Amino acid sequence: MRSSDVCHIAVFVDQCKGALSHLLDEEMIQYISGLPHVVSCSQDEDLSSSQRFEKLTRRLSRGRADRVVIVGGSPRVYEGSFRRVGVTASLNPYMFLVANIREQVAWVTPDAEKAKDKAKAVVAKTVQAARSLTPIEQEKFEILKEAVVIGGGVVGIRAASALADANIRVTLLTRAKDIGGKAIQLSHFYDRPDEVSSWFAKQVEGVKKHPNVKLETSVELKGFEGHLGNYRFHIEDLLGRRRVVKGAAVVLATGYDVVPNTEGIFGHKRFISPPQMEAMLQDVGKPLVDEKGKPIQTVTFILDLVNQTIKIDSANAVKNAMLLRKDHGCTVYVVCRDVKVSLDGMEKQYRKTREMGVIFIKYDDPPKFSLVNGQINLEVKEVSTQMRGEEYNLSILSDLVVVSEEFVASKDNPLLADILGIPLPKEGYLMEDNPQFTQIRANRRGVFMAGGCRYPQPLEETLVEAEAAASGVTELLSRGMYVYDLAVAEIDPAKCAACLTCPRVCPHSAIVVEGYAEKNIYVTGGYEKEFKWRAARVLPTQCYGCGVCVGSCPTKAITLKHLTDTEISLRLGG
Amino acid sequence: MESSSPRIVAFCCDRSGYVAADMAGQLGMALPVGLEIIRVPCAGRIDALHMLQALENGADGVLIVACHEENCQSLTGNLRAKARMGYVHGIMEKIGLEKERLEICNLASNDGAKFAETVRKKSEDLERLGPSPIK
Repeated sequence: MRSSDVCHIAVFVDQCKGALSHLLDEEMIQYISGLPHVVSCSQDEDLSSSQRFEKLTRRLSRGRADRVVIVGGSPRVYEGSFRRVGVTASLNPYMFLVANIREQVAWVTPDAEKAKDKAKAVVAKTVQAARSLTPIEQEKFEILKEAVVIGGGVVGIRAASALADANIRVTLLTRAKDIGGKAIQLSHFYDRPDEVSSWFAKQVEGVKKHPNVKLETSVELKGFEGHLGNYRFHIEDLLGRRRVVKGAAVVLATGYDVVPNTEGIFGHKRFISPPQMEAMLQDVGKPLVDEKGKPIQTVTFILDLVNQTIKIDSANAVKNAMLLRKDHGCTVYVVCRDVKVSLDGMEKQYRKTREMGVIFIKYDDPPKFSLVNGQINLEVKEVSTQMRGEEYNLSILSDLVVVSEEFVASKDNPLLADILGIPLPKEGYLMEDNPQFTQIRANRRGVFMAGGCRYPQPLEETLVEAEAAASGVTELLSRGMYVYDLAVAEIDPAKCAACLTCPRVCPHSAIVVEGYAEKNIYVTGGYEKEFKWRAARVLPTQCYGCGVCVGSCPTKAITLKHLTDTEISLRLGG
Repeated sequence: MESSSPRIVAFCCDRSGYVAADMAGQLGMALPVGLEIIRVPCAGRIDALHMLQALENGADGVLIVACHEENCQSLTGNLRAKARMGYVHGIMEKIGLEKERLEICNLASNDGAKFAETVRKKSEDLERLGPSPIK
């Protein structure tokens, strides 16, 4: 190995506040100092403190060591510190390895003698593997201060205006004739006194007038290429003319689809959908009457026949039940499997609604409906009293029954996911990178998502998500420069057979196949000169460094820079 | 390492296996002395070659510690590792090595106890199988 001739390893021994004192005695230190290529061996009480770590690293800058092996606890403890302070000692942040003799030896090996032998073996292997380390450089490029938002619903509008306010030029793409979407169907917010319609009109106007926003209505997304900081969107208008829109990042806000529930008896005019209910409540002063002019006295909400895992219906039912009770004096029943009120402030409102006399009934078996004298009769077995050993078969006559519409993933999601190169799970909603921590990011860098394309949520929550996605984009773009480590996979074009395995396996759409002009090892007659050779290339900005392509490459053309095959085989003792 | 404790190479995914191994340590669970942990960014990084190389270099058993299926950050990394393991099983059969020496274990990052249990069980199994003939 070439680099082994010149390698000088500095070993830092971390006593981990005495946790390793029984292993790290004089003899052990002697042993470590005697290992090949080790030029110095310094000890410290507690290297997890970054100040002590920095001190040790500074001392290093005077020596001739070019890589560091830390003997101590888990690498997760030191990685952050070393990446930060390694540079001050003119060391490459990736020229270090950790021999974890705390979690892997000291704490799991009861026998002291065996523990010592094992610790020696672990340190020796790590020092050996450190020979294979190569410096990993940092790169940066200027990032466009432009973003694209796809979808002209309330989420798209909110995200676009948040981005525009942050001084980012936004192009809002929508296939509809005008921006708008489903949110306009709602009458009120549950958590603030505004009416949705007036608030929404203000938002739409704000976006249309904003100097940083460019609207592209009636367009279809046809193609998508490029990388973080410089994506290109090919769009087609109604006349079939194609254009290219540029953006450094994209927010997907394409929403979900709604399937009305009008089968069988649900088609009767006394069954209405939640948007119809909202429309009836739009005017506060107007009395509620049916088509014959008779006042509506009893309203029942049926929840959880569909959308059992979505809380939109529950939240809207609680909100509307309160309005019906307060403004119109109706008798209101909410019949559901579970009341889903896990929204900010909703619990309180749910309790208030119950105190006002709205009756919540829980069922296990779906209720039965029948028509009695022009009214809807509903028969249901109430189960919330079951734990007391009581069961009630209830029969409710109501003037109006509100039946939920079914929310499904948009039928265009497969096409969208295909164009954008992001995965689509079985359920059909777009997939987030991590459902707990990064809900607003797709697992392709620079692709953000918010709202119903990820999962249907109540308007109030979806707005928060839109703002989160916008701030994610702002954070990325506001620095002007995108700085990244080249701790990624790299393809040797001379070895690449362009078999297309790696673009297929790459989970983050980070590999492209490009044409090359020179060094064609597969050259045959008849090819154009400038396009005689193809090879795959990893886009370093997109690569997460997972190494799936490395293991899949049949010609072993790919190297993972921060964990090379050489390092693994040295660790395996080869 | 001494002969009584079989040598096990465990490739641990950085997102689950390695964290679980750390956790097993923090819980102070006794692990077999012959265990060697190799940290990889994703189980999909582990090549068939590495599995064979581990066996070639005298490991009695190889363990791939990956995330639960359908729970991989790299979408199918753990499934690819499993598929490669199947391929290596074929080779092992041909050269007369027991298939049980190479196994995959799916766990979550908070499964320190499961990690310890799996490794201990693996160690016992390997003791029953006897040392690897390649040594």
